[in-house]
Amino acid sequence: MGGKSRLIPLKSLIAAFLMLAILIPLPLLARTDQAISSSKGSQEKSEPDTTQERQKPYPKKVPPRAAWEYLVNIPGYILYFPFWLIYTAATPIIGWVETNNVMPRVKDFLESDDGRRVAYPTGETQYGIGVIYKHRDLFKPGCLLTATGMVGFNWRRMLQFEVERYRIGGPFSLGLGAQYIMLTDANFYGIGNDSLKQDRHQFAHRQPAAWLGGGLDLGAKLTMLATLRVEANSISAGRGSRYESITVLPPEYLQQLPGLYDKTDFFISKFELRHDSLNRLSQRPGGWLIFLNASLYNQLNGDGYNFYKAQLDITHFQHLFYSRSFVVRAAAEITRPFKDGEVPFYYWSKLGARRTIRGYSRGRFRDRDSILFSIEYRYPLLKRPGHIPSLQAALFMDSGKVSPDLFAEPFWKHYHTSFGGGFRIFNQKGLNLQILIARSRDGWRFYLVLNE
Amino acid sequence: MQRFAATCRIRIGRILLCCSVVLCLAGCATPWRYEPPQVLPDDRQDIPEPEPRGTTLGQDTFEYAVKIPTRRFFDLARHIRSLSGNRIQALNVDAFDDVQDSSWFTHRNDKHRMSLEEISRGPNVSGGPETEGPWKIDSAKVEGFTPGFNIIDARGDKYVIKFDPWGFRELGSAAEVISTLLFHAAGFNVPENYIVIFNPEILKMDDACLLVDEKGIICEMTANDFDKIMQKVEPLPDGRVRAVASKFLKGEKILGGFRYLGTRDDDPNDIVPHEHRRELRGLYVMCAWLKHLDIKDSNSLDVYIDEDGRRYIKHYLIDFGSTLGSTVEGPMLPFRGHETEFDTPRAFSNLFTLGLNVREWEKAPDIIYPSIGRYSTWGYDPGKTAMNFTNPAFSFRTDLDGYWGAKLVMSFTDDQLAVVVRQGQYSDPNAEFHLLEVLKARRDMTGRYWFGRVNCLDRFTLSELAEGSYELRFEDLGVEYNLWTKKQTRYRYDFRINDQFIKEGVVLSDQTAIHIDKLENFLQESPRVKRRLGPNDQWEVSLEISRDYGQNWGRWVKVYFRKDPSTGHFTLMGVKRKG
Repeated sequence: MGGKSRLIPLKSLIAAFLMLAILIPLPLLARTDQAISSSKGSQEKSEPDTTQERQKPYPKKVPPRAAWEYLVNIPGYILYFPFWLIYTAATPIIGWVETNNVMPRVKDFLESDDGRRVAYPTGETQYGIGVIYKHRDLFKPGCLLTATGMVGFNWRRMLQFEVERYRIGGPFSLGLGAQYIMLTDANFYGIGNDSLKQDRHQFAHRQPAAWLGGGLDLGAKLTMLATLRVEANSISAGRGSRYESITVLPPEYLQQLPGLYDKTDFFISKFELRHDSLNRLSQRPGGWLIFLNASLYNQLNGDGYNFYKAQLDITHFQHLFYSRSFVVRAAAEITRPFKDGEVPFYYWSKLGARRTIRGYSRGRFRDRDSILFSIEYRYPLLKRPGHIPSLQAALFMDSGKVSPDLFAEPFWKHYHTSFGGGFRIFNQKGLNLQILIARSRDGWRFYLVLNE
Repeated sequence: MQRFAATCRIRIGRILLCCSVVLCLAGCATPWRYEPPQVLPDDRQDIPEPEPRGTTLGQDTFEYAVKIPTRRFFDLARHIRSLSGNRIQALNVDAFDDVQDSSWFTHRNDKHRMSLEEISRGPNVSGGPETEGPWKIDSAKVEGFTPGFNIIDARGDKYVIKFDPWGFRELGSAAEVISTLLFHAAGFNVPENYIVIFNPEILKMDDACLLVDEKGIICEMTANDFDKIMQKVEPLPDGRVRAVASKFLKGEKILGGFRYLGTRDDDPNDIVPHEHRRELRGLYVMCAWLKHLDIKDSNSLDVYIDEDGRRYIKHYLIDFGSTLGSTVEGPMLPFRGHETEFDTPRAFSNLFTLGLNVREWEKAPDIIYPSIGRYSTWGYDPGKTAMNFTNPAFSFRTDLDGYWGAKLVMSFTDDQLAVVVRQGQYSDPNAEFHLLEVLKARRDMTGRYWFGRVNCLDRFTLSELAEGSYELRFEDLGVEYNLWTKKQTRYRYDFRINDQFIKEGVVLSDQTAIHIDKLENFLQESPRVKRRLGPNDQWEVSLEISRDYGQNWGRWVKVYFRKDPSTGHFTLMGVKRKG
């Protein structure tokens, strides 16, 4: 120890110099600035309009920062590099798009001159991405034609064509439509509230449908609708590669699933009462959205499946202050067979997915009846009226359950709950992008919805 | 392990010892001396013809909304500077912390008060377009919120004709003209802008007239298109229409907007990075005052001009339609000035406070006068006014830049503002009165804010009273502009020679002059100074202000002077202000 101990060994001296090399510039920043300014060109002002002046070298450019700043910034440069790459690539593309009027041309292509015909992209987790085409004031003022085409993973697809609000005189209107749905990877976890996450199986559900309806306006906010609908259903093996198909389940179990091996065609009579007092475009969103409907399902190609469904869905938007609002929702559905019929399992009430309990996958719980409660707090992050996109955040909690008979068991038991939050980007031109994330007993789920 | 820790402790101790020794030695260096910044060369020298900048509005927006904020975020040096309070000061200032006249800026009202006639004329030297007509339409646009024409008047001058948004007559046109006059008087280069009231029949379509239609597509204009455009223009009761005519800038070549970051590679005169130019940093104060929030490249223009035989680039600010509570689509939206277009920090703040913190602008009152729009003192914070997009020059600004800008703002007298507002030609005298009062009130708020952040003693003069004795005079801008009273104000000064105190903490009340006695008298008072005196003596007076009768003292300003060897008299070297 004694032989080694010099007061200031060489290593310490080098370390001290290195430290000071880093530390000294900090208190001397002001002087560094002076150094920057002293490097400014020092050409004397003189009569410039002479040949000598023109031949004189121009002053050197002043560096925008001191040398130490370039050194300190090296980690910053490294982190910024990926962004720089993206921006460098994006800038000429933006320029090209603008100089070639790509956006106006696309708009011109997607929207008619009078604004009545418009096409826009859409997307959601169930059917994937697609296009919606709308033709307003078709045939008559107020009449709306909508055509939607969507496609998603595992070749899930949905095609829909609908004409609504064709006025036939007074408060009466007609509507008709056709739809083709092919869900190649619908989920089946079992029956009831106790179904397990690991029992996930998949099946493919094909459903072409067509309908004709009539509407009666009972006031500005209240509408009554009556619809006659024909549907054909067929179930086959699921296409999802991650989970087993429902068809591999034990036969004794499958026998409990009505409708699995049968092609069922239905004639459906549906009556609906709709109240909509929602103030959508206002900075003070508020109002009620109520749906009450009853549907009668009669099998066309047999007599084994006859049932009815009744649904009540109440949503209240309560404006709190300065565009902060609560959204409270309660919904219930009951499904009952009649004439000794049965209910195909895919028509049972189901919970899961974005419109029911977020955080659970679609069809996570199935049974005859279901009940659902939801509360959501929405608040603005960037409030931008007009055409500029606004950004809104939401926190929500969903809770619900399925039951073979809602009225036969205690109301407060067996609820499944999830919570989460998300963002919504929207403007008054129609943009509406939602990004949600929800947490449930099954884990996290992510939802992306565009112009639904 | 213990041995390792002990070794580490010893090593750290030695390193710290070394650091202390070196720092002590550094502290024993020669006294600090004031070095005035070097004079920049005139940037209006002959240069070869540059190429136009080809950026589009979308690229511009992308740059300001996305690229620049990201780059700023990763700029560690900037964060270090901000945290240590040592931000880069403007690099084109002289010894008195001012800028010299350049291709960017010309001192006008702040140096020599402009007459009412001068200020009301502003840059408008040609008299505007002939309203008797005919006006030949060169091109037109119907895209965006308001239509517009490019016309050539009977004299052959080319103008852009811009109309007010429907339902808000006088809103945009008055704002454009008033702001033009104020920016011009402040010293910036602006185009000629006139309010014109004309009969639409004088508009004549050219054969090959181009039109940018509602979808932004360029096509040939038809009579039908012309009618469509005129249907969007709100006429006056007598059938005529009111618009603003902005004269095309004349020059050898139009080069596109200037950037607020970096320099132009093809302009050898452009040697100071724009973000470190005092005029551009200080422009923030003017913009906040006049609510000119859309400050980006596309609202500026570089023109290669030929002036007095020299060809160089002159830098203009253009398009003041979106100022004073106006925008092209109508009154300014309430969040403008409080948040940027994509205000990420504000969005995060709202996210984590669950929106419970209601922003001030959300409670904004309704507009009173449609012709004025949303322009009031309500919620105005001169130092925190948010532009629509992050402007790099503005984000580099320091208190000294703000002070410089505030001097421009405060240079406008009530009479000057009144005559400028009259140029807006408001039909409602109440609206005119309201705007004038708001301009005055915001001006004073601006002055109070920035003059309160730095020492606002200025306009120093040193005069020799008798042989060897001098008087240093100064002006308190805060008192001069009636922001604070003379009664409540006290001044305190220290006097040093070669960084050594001669006088310390001398309080002045009710006087703005310091008597500096003969040098010999100082030497008698402070003999220790004698041995350090020499031909390069540097005298320094450090002044502080108190606005509360001497209770609290603010930031200092230091004035340096030294003997001019050629004349033998003391002259001012420069001023240094804490900011």
